[in-house]
Amino acid sequence: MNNQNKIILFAGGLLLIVIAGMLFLETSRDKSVVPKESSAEVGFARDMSIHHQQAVDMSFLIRERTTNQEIRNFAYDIINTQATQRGMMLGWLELWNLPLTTTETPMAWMADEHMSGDMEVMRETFTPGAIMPGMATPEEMERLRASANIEAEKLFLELMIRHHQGGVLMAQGLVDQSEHEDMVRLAQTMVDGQQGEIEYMQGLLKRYK
Amino acid sequence: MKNILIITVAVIILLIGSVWWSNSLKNQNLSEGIEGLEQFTRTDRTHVQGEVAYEEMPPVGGRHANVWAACNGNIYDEPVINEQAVHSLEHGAVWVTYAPDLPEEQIDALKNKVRGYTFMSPFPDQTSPIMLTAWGNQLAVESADDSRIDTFLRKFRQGAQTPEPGATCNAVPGGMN
Repeated sequence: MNNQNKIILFAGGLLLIVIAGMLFLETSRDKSVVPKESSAEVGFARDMSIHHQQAVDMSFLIRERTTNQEIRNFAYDIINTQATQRGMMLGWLELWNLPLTTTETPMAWMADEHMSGDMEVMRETFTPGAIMPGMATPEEMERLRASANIEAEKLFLELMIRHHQGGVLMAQGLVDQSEHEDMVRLAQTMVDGQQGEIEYMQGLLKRYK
Repeated sequence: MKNILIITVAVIILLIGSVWWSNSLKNQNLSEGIEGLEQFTRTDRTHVQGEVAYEEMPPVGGRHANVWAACNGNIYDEPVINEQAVHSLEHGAVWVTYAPDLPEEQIDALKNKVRGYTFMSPFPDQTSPIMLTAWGNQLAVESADDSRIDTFLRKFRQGAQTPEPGATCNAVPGGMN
């Protein structure tokens, strides 16, 4: 091969590498790419919107069951934030033209190694009869509905602390598994925000002892 | 050898140029630069009772009160409680503050900009006539007709800096305390 051919070959090779690299960059940041049915993004959007809905329900309940203004304010904050975030997650599914619900086992989207790594949190937060980590069982929701004032406040705080612990575990699972920029950002705010609220609630709970 | 060098340099320039170009297409509105914007990292979002010693005036984030100052286009004639205002920033609000000696027509011009996820109050301790604050972001301007004000509002009302996306700016029904 003469020198000129070598140069042409070299230039062509370089150009191909550059084009491949640019295509990769473009597709990886393209927000219109629809995640797969089995992806963490789709599983998280479906499961977390159910998880959030229970926090909203619990918060509506406690606002009816107590006159404690601090607890009522906190519940009001949760209702607005988690209901809106639910809408964001369901909105992604709508945009992707995917069903909002699934017949898959809850939490199936979370990678095994991540699940086993947090097995302790899982054990602590996963109540038999509940469908996801941290969630209250129908019986626990009934107990909250049947209680009032101090008894209801304590039960609400205990249930919501556990609910948030499970929520943090799930949101962290998405952060670890996904490269969907916007969803990772939302999930990271859940991890940070709910972690802070857990500490806040633990502080409130101490006042009753 | 000289040719290879030229080609390599040309390809590198092409590469840098195209990355810059594709970046410039991305979220054009949101990546607008704002001259003079100050940024701070604030990660502590603990709810506390009583006063917090904030470093910036007005504060840009950090620990805050359990309740937030209503920030759904609310215009306050008196200073708001810092700890409550910071909670509003956490919810994605922009806080417009002015030195109490700001001329009336300037105050009126600012009021026109206060809508959802915005609130406004006088702030006696600030060094600039007008300041705009979002969580971790602050801008000082001299006059209400500074075009950076609208850019700041577009970028930060419920912007990407919001630590609690989806949270409300409405007042809590039944009183704040």
